[in-house]
Amino acid sequence: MRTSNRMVAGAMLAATCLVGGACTATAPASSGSGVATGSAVPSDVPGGPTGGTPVTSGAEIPENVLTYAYAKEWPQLDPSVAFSAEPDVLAQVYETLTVFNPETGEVEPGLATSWENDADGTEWTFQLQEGVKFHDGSDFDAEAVKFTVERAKEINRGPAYIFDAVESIDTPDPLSVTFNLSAARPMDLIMAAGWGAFILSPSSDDQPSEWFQEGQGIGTGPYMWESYQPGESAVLARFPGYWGGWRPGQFTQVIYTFTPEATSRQQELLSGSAQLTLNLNLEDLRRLEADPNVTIAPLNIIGIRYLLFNNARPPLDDVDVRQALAHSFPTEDVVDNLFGEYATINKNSLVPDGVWGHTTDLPGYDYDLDRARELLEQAGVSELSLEFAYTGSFPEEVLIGQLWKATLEQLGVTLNLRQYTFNALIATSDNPSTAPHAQFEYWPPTYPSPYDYLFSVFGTGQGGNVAFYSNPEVDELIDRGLTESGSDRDAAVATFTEAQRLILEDAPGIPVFDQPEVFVGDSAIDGYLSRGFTIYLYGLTES
Amino acid sequence: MIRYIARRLVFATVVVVGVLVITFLIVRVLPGDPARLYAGGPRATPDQVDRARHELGLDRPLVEQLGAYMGNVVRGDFGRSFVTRRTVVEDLARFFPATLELVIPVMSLALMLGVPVGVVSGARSGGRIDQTTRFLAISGAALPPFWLALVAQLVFASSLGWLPVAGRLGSEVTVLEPIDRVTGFYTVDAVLTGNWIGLGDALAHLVLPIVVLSVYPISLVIRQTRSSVVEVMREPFVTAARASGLPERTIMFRFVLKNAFVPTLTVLGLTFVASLTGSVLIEVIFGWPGIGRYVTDSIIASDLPAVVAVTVIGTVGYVVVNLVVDLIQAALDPRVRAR
Repeated sequence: MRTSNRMVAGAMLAATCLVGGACTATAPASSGSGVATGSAVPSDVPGGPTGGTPVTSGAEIPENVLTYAYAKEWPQLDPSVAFSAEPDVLAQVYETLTVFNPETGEVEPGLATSWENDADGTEWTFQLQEGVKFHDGSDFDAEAVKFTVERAKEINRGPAYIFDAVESIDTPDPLSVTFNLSAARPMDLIMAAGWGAFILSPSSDDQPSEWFQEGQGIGTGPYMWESYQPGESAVLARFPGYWGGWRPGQFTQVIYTFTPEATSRQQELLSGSAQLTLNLNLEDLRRLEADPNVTIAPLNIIGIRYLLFNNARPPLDDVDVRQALAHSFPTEDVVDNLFGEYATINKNSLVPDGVWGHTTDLPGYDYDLDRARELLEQAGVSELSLEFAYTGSFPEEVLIGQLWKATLEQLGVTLNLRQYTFNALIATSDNPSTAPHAQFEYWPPTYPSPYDYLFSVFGTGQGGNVAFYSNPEVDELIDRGLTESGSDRDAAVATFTEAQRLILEDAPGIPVFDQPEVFVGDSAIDGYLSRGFTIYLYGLTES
Repeated sequence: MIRYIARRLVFATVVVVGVLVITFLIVRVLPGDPARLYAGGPRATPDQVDRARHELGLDRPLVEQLGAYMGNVVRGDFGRSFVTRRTVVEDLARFFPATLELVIPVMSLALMLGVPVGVVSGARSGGRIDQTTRFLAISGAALPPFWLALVAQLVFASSLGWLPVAGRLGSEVTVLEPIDRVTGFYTVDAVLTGNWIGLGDALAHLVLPIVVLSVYPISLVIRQTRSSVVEVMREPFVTAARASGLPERTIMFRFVLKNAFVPTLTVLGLTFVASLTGSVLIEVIFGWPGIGRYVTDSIIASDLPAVVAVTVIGTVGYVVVNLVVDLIQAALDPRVRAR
């Protein structure tokens, strides 16, 4: 039943909408500043709730709603299956045992307060946070962790492979959980994964996938599902019993509105009908930098963009030709002219800054057309014509292609730019003889480890390896690094660094830049915080 | 008349089945691997992709897949979308009303504005009203709708703040006064449930997309009606009616308009069905969760069940609307029945 207060609020709202113009959910923007140090973690919320000062919800907390003009749809809302953009919402509803902080490169306590492993890295015990409740009021405990991992393994889709070495799970007491593994694995990192590691309530045991698809699910996160209209909106509401407590200024509700067109999202923000958005066009971002009513916050979500060459298509099967292409790529021009501070040049490491195993010491490929010419002559290649594939999902790709085309022309190499749909490019790239000579690949890892990048993109026969690169020595190093990362992290760093050195020498492709996710919000909003894979809306406050 | 209808229905069935088969085959040979998409895109392991292929039945021979699909369609089961993981029927029930809520008012405007203006313009052919109308109609038909949409957003939503930028409902209504879903038409549902605040908000969100979408059909109907009126007015029977001393008003309504309306009706019918799936750009710009956006996303993602279902339903729509238009034409013009 509707209360009279709601009716009054609603009537005022209708008047605003119909007479005064566009609806606004929050107070008008105050004067503010351009680009925020978005990836910085607010001092009072280091890893999330553990650092906050718990404040119980009460009348003194103003009711405020965050409207988030969002770009993509979520194909799959079952946390055990989701493997796309879903963490953007799932990370607000569910939590993980550990939390990755891209500022320090470390995992921090989440639902687990501490953890330890045996010497060979096959037995990991996590101590769990006490007093945590699920949204349905049930207690979070070791059984919930066991249920989550076993459910993912049983469904065995999407990100389930992260638990491939889990043989059994013991729950010696309600606040301790022990993973027994068939081989050493970095469970502290795996339990911080952006996909597959969200802890869900055992009460969802009988629920079919369709139930999750309706916008339902029981986690321990700061927000709970309220409603979901596919293609239209999703509403999350504050979980009053959140174990981290609530501070003044945090949002009581979050409304995602699905607006695929970047220009429309920008208009929603500027008109005040949304207070937060993301993925705007670079040109628009430049204009917004001067607008005192908005804040631009690039957040490190540990994604890296590679330029990959098809190693199976002659003459790119010759390392000299690949190295020549690597030297011909105008990385500085691309990043400085197109991206500015919205990308960080990374020529020396196949692992982005913020993830352990990232290095600046390995030799990369500088832009050097003389050296490229020498290498092409050495390979006996002239009159080369290559296909560079791009998709509409990364609008700047075609501009990068044009810049590269201009430099390659100086070497007598013709670059043909060809557009594909995202799915068509994936399908074309399944076959080495039809895959394009060159394409970009963006890689955010499933969990924060060099292994994820190196294995998925450069491991023999892997889905992300559209370069068709294969080096048994590298494969062996990547496998060894995985095992070592479960038992001896320093040894793993050395092994992964050696693998990166070999890969860079072989030049199956090159790292180009680390790419943050750029959020734009009302200047009254503060506290932009990355949880490794996505923005953490619990960190946001409105002044 | 009954034989005429029966003949048309048989022909319509052949068309629908033909379109279903052709669409099914075309979507299957398009580049793109739905199994990989279903399994998780580039991150999926080869084993997961193989499993997805088997689960979706994509490893069966094409003819077998087609046969099974047609069998299901006959039972009203269009399968499950590879992308949204919901049944296609559920998706259509969600996205179709959103589009119809735009297209029905657009067509009503085209009919109510386009026909009278076209008649006046045609009746005063060569006059100042006709010249002005022709200029406006040509401009309206020539302006790209997506450009109009962006300009309208910028002016009426962002700058003046009179109307919402995008979406079907505002944030506050979504949270405070959500419209209970009955038919999927928010305006109708708001009335049915007595949610007047929701009704006001839904109407405010409809204004810009409807105005932008209606510019082209109105222009088209004006031009079509005008040229038909001009043509019919030159017919000998009009001259004969004038010579017999009938008043101009009677000539216009009883003879000219009745004949001139036949081609306009065809244009209206075809524009209506084309708008159902063709308003995708407007839907994208206004963040409108309609069928155009749904089918475009489905094509890009090689979402076979969704693409085939929308195409079949679009075809059925064309066939039905054409049939209705033809029947009205037959009622208006006995020569059509005789053909």
